[in-house]
Amino acid sequence: MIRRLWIAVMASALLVAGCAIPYPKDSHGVTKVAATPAQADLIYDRYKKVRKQALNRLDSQPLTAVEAGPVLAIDAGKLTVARRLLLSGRPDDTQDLRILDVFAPRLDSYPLWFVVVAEDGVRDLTKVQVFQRASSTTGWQLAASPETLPSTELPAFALDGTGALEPVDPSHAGRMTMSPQQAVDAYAATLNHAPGAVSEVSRDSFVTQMRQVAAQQRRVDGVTFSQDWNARPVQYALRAADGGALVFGTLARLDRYQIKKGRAIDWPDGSEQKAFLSGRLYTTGELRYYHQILVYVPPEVGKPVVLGQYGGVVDGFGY
Amino acid sequence: MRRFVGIMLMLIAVIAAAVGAGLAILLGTDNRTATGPHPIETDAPIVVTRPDVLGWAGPTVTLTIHVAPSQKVFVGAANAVDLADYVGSVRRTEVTDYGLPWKLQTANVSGQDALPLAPGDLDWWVARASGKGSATMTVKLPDQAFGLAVIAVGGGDLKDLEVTAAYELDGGFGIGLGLLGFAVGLGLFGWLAFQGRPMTRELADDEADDDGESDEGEPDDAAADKADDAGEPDEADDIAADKAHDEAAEKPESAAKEQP
Repeated sequence: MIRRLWIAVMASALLVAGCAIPYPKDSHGVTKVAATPAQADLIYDRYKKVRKQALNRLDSQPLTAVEAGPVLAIDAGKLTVARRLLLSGRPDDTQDLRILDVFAPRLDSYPLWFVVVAEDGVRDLTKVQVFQRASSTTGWQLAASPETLPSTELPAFALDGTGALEPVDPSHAGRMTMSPQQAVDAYAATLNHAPGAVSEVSRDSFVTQMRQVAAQQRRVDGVTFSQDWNARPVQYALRAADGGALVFGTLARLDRYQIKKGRAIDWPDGSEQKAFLSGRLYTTGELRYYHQILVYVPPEVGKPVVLGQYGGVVDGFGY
Repeated sequence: MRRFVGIMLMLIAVIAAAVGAGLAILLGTDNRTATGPHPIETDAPIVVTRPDVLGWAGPTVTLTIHVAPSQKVFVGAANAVDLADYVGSVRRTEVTDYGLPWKLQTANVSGQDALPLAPGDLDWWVARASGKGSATMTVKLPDQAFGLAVIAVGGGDLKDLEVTAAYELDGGFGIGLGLLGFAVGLGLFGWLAFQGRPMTRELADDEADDDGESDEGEPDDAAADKADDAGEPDEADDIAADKAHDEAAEKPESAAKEQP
């Protein structure tokens, strides 16, 4: 009998405890997960809609609402090239972008940002993109968009107990071989040095490709070509599950052409140079590029490696 | 031991009854209680709560704001990160502490007068409402750091600000009544335990059956029980005593009938 009554008492107590009683809030302090997957979907849909509009009109103006910084400059440059050369094929017009995954960190202040891994079904690429909201009164904008090959395997991201990304301070190396900023700086230094020089980064496909481009320009007869690389401050870096870091870096590249007296250069039709350097070049010319790179910095041992990049000409002059 | 348990159960029952009755009376059948209107003195265009002021989640709160009849007012609830970024550079009155039902401490913070964007143009409000002269907003306190903001829209300030707050607890009245019923049952149970006997003869029979089963199927721990009870009569003794008591009570009556 006593046992039965105890069961009744305990059941009643549990019933009461399960009701909607006020409870203390979570213990994450003043933080916010930048965006939920549902919010990311809405943001991405708006981005695709505006981008398509800009591509159709070959006008970068609409993009300013949904893109910012170097990625806006790169896309505006591509549109400028297309418009000036009246290319029949508009850049990325047929992109079929589909979100594969959304990762958002828990942040305590603006700017807020989150990462989208998207599949480009038409170009057979994977985009690892960062969307940022600079302040509470601005909209979400694409801030980085490096592209990787489908064969490139991204390292697993480290997530906290609530499924939020773990951001990494760009200036702190922690247990890694170098900090995110140092890794991007090292890439700029490597590309500024001769191919045989000692490098702190991997001799990966990005470095190889950029050196091939530079070598090709140097072979142009009657032209003195020089190239400078600079790293911009790193804003976004996140922890990989193995303790390393994934870094969204931007490299600024400046190509200079000095034409020898009595010579002139005709750029190939459809080239960026032809669009930005107004056809024939007699004296000097400069082209500025941005390259957004996705760098993996390994934990403890190993050299950083570029997993993906997105770049293009953003400005130029010549006469 | 049983007496002690009985006393404890009755104490718990008294507390549960008080809480249950209090909850039911406080919330009423509409599950809500209101306080106000309370004036808040400020000449700033914004009043906000600091993130640590509202430390609880779960209840639904309805805020009714009254300002000067010609003044447009906005009331909203948002994550503290959004709110801090939005009002961070603006002159405002901050609620630094809050106690139920209505006990406020405030601090004035200097800054510019104009917000960077009208509050109605922002997409991160968890709940919001606006109106001319008054506005009413209902929000379920979320499980994250968040704040409440009252904003004078279109210039002006929040002079004559008055706030009425209503707290709603879904099913609160039912919970109160449930607690009350639970307390009555628990108290009865405690009383039985205190008395050291069952309430009815049927219960006694049940208990006797239980004891019989126990004696047959389980090791006999009657000796231990007796030691625990420290001299108290065991249940079998109680039953015998009850019967003897009942018989004793009947006998004088019978005797009276037999008298001429």
